[in-house]
Amino acid sequence: MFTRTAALRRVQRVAVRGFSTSNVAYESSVRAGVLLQRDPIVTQPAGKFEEATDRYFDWLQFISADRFPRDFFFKKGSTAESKWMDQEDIRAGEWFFDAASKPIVKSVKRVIHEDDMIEKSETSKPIAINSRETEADATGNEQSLERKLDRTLYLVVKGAQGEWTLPQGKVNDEELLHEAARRNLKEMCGGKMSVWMVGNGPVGHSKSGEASTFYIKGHILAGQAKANEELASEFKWITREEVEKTVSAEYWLAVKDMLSTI
Amino acid sequence: MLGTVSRHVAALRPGVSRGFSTGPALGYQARLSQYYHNTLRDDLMILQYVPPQVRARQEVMEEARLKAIKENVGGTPPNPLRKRLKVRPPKPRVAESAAHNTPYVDKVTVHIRCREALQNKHNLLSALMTLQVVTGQRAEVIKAKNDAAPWKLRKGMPIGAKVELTGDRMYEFLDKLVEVVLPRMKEYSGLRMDSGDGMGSFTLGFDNSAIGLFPEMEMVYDMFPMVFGFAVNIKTTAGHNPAGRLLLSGLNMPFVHARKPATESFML
Repeated sequence: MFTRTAALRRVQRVAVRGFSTSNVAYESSVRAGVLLQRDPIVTQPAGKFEEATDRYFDWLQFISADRFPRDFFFKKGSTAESKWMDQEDIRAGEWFFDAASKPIVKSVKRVIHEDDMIEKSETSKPIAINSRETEADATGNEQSLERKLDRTLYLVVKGAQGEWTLPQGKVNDEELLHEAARRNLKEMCGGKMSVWMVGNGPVGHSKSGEASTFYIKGHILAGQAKANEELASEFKWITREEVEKTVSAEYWLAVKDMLSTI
Repeated sequence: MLGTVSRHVAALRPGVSRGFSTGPALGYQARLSQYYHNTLRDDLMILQYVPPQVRARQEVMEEARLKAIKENVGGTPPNPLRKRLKVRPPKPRVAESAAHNTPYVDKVTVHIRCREALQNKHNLLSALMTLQVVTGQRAEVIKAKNDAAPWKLRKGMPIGAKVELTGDRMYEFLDKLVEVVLPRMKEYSGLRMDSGDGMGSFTLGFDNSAIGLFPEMEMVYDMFPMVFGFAVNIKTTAGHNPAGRLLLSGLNMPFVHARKPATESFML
């Protein structure tokens, strides 16, 4: 009866039971969340130093540039050529970075007014540039995705206990981490968002008691969040500094390294 | 000196007479460059991350593969008439992806090989001007390195033109190419999935119909007596093809599979 093989079989059976997935203590120890970000929509503004540097390098480029091959592009004596030469006179007068290097202008054909500068051709309208500040900026609407166009916005939700966190939830049995993350986001914030998740692995984690939440990074490409009343009362799209002010101090320490400063 | 600058700068901005500036829009940094540094690079680092356990498993499998080839495990006795099979040299270990070594685009070279320059070297002028118009940078003349009698080529003859772009100009050229030129091309779906030289360089070839699709060429196309095809070589710091393709696809370059889909080959 007590052969070596029978004893081994008994040990194996005990070992199998020990790793059973129906153990309650395992269920809530791993959670999956999403670090959902709206990327910057407009380019970064240049600071004073960058503007000054750029002006200087533009000037350097202008004075060291190769001669424009006028004879290649324009027929000698044509109206196009004289029109271009007029423009060159005006252009040459613009560069006042170094007063000593101001080129000698042949003749000033007309008084320089800023309105006349941009030629309005008959067929095309001048391009109207939108403002970098939107109405969401003016009203301070933190739910809008059109606020702070030059910054990265992150989605935070207000949980049942009134605490602000990144969207997260449980990982069920037989479910992979990235699948759970996607499911939790959809349950908490609605299925009306087009999201691209960056890979299948987490970019950070936070701990609350026994449970560890692993966050997978995602980008919102289209759509808008909609808070599910049972799981999340509110949502906000906020920048890194605003996240620091909104979430608890302990939570901030856990998530701050995932958030971009831009 | 600064006093005079402020007085005039208040009234005029450089480039105002044209309504544009020759530097990048906003002057500060090209749009694509900002996108890469602020958004894309982080994603590339995440996507290329291989956990240590998986990395260890990959190395074990690679060792086993090499060992199996060496010992000819499970193979038939070697055919004495057949040449000895070459064992591929072990691939150099690609550095682990980290924040400091994510791949980036290093340099873009646009070049034109001008056969017409063999008869008359003034034909090269069109090529030089084309590159200058399209890239915004002065083109260099390429001289022949070797003789080639069938084509009446002698060493030192000017035979082509090229431009090497780096920095903001490079990003702006790539941006233009991917957003404006490639979508306008007929029957172009993307770079093939088997492209790349394995060391991080990708080359796209274009015929002479593509040059007219650049925005700068729209106004001056008729001034050019000859239009040429050109090649764009994108040099990245990727260590192998998949990483390079990941980077380019992040910069919005389209890709297509190398093989035709199965359904096409079965169509009657």
